Amino acid sequence: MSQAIAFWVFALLLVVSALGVVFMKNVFHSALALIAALLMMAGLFITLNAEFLAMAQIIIYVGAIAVIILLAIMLTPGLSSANRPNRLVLPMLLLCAVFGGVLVISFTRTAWQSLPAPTSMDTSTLAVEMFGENGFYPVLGIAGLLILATIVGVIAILRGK
Amino acid sequence: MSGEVVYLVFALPILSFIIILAFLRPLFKGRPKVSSYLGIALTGISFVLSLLLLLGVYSGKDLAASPLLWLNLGNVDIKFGAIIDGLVAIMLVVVTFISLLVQIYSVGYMRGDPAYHRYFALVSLFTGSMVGLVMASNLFWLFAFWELVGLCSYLLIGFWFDRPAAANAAKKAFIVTRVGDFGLLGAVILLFTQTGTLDIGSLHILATSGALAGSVLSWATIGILMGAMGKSAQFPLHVWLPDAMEGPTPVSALIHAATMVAAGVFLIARMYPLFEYSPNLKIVAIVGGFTAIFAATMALVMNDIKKVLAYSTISQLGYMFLGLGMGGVSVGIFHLFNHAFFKALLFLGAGSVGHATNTFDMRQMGGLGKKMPWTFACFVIASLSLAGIYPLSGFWSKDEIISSASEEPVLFYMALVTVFFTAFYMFRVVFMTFSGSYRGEKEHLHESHKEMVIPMVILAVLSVFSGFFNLNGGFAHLLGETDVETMGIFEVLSHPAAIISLLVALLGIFLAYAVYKKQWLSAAGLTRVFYPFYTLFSKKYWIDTFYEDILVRRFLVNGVFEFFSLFDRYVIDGLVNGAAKAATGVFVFFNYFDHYVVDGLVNGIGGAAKSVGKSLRHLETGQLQLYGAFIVLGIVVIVMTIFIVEVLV
Amino acid sequence: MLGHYLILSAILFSIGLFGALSRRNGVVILMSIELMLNAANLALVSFSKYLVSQPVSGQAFVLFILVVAAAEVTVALAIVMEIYRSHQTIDVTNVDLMKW
Repeated sequence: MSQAIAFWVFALLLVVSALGVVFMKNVFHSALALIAALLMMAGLFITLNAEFLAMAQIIIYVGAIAVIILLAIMLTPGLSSANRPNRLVLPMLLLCAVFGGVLVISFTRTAWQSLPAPTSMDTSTLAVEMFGENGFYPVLGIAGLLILATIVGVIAILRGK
Repeated sequence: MSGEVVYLVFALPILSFIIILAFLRPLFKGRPKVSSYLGIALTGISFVLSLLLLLGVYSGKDLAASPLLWLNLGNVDIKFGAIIDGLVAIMLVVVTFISLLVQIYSVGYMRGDPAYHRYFALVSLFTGSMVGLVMASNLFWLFAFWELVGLCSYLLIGFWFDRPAAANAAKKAFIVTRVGDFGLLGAVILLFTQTGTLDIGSLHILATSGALAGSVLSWATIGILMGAMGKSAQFPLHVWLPDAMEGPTPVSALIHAATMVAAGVFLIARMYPLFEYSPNLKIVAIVGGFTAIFAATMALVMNDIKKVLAYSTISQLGYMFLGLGMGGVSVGIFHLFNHAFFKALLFLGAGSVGHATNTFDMRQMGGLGKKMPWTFACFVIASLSLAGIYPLSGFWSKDEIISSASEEPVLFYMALVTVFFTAFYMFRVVFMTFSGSYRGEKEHLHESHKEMVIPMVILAVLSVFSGFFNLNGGFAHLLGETDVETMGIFEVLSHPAAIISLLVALLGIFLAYAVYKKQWLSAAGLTRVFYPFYTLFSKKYWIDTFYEDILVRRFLVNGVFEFFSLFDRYVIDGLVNGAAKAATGVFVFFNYFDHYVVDGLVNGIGGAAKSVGKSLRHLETGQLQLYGAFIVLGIVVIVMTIFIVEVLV
Repeated sequence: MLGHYLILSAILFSIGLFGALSRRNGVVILMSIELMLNAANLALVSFSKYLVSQPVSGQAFVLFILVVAAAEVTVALAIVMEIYRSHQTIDVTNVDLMKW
């Protein structure tokens, strides 16, 4: 019951702030709405027993990604304050509505074979999944490489000629 | 020692490649030697490890490397694993050893080259991918490394890519081998769809148990053979190998001895059970026997020392195919094993000569024997070995091939004639290069640096002794063959095939001696007498011309495309106009029909394509978001179609 | 309950998609893409709770998506900065060098 209440609260706030990201006139306000949306998402993760993910979400998304975005907004003064739509806004709106409809229909039409009782899990199961035997740890190394490549790439792009 | 060591053999050269490219090249610009030391050290460790593996296999230890699960597709697992058996262990030793010596040699040969780092990085990658190909336990990975080997040879043949000849040779090697790779890929796909597995061990079992048979097996082996023919430069896909001489000479040694061309022979040996149970083993032998004599004739008339060696390699690879087809795995692989040492030595020798004289044209050489005694001695040993003179290594493996071919008289005689040609052209090279007086212009010729001489001496020693490896059938045992006839070191001389081939080889050497050393017979006179043959051979049977001019230029560009244009102009237009003329007067109606409907159709189709193109290009707006919208639209359409189909059906 | 989460995820995805397709500002497009990634994350986590007996694979995937998203947004913002430097604008409709 409490899960359902939490879900509805977070879901409503999430949708509202997501709409805010897209429709706010000021880009800075959009970014703030994004932070709100990301926090709501963390709340939803908690309702799904994914506490670790919720924390990671806050630390990585809110702490790092959103801050970088704010930084980018500050570094492009004047021009980025206006959040204007392009010329195709109405066709796009229609297209996205149809797309959302298609998504919803396919989700509802699929006969999900739900487990009788939702399994409970905690952070330690995730840890085993990541680092235990047959875990994902080799992929972690590759993810590290990706980050390294990102750093090098960003420096290369921004260093100029 | 456990079998997992084999992964280390593979990983070390790859590691060397990564380190050189990522760290040494940018950080040690002024000190290029660093990367050669790293490459040599890691390849050296690789070599020692593979030697240990070979000893382990030889002493009958059960070595196995547990595979890693790489990809799971439904109920099919694709694993990254290694086979460790005699074949693999021998190939690993040959590959890492030749690569080690080539790298040591290159320290001297490539001294002062501006792209020194890149060279060593690529050689390391080449070695690593060849090791990967050899050990792969799965056709998927074998194919992947197969392509990587092709890529590395492309990069190394085109190493001096600012020279157009090198760039073209690299392209040619890549494209020609690709024709063969196409067959191999087809075979892999066919085997996968028919058996559901790509594991080489399982495929062997399926073939020997008869579960995999009939036309599937037949087509699969033909595809595999095509791949092997492309990589091992067998007729008619041999044209890339002579051109590949544009790369640095040590690379030629590596390609010819251990890595690139050996891959084809290895592939057939690896998939041997499939060939054994298919009707195509004979085709392997025929391809090999024909290529052997075919390439040898061209080697007779080349004036570029590296070209002679290149055709000689093609010819010797033909021998290996012949040995695989007629004798079995050990016969073919034993020749590969011996050939690796003396052919690498020949190329290093040629590189040493070229380094001293700045040319590879033998007409600009002569009399180098006194100036470069070490190179001379090594080169002669290798030539004797290649010619098949007792008791050097080439004799032993060649004798096995020839005696196994004696069941098929035609192939047998072709092989014998090739022995004669081989002896002749090798000693033609020796006499033209090292005896007589110097005909070139460069002064102060001197022996090469010691890092170039030492690898040659090591290879010379091996060219003498590596043949004894199979004296008591040790080599064949290693490859898992049980009923081996053993040959003593002297008994072999009572073997008729051995005597004949030895005599034929000596005859070839004698003829070369008569023509090029003593000049009892004049070379020019011989050329005149055999003029038609000389032209045929020196023009390479016009095969290169055929491919480039006829197949590509005439057939594809001028032929196929021109054909459609002519078809359009004469046939379609002709029909239209002819009908129109016949109809003038009486069939005025038809004339109009013709004019408006038929012509309209003909022109309309062309015009429609044009105007569709014209209007479609407006979709390329450069507007990212429009592109995104099209993607979404596509998804929506696809999903909606599925919905509708589901509802209707 | 699974259905609720999935529909929420679909709505969020569509909002993000609309933002990505209709806004001129490069930074806003990036933020919209983050919304889309988050929608996918939500679907993964709810699948891992309701559908799978071995429960946490979905969560592990989400962790990796976080990593990739961080890398993606960093590179993308660097590109936006570069465009700003060369064009003095971050309006993506003006960046059409690929036009026919």
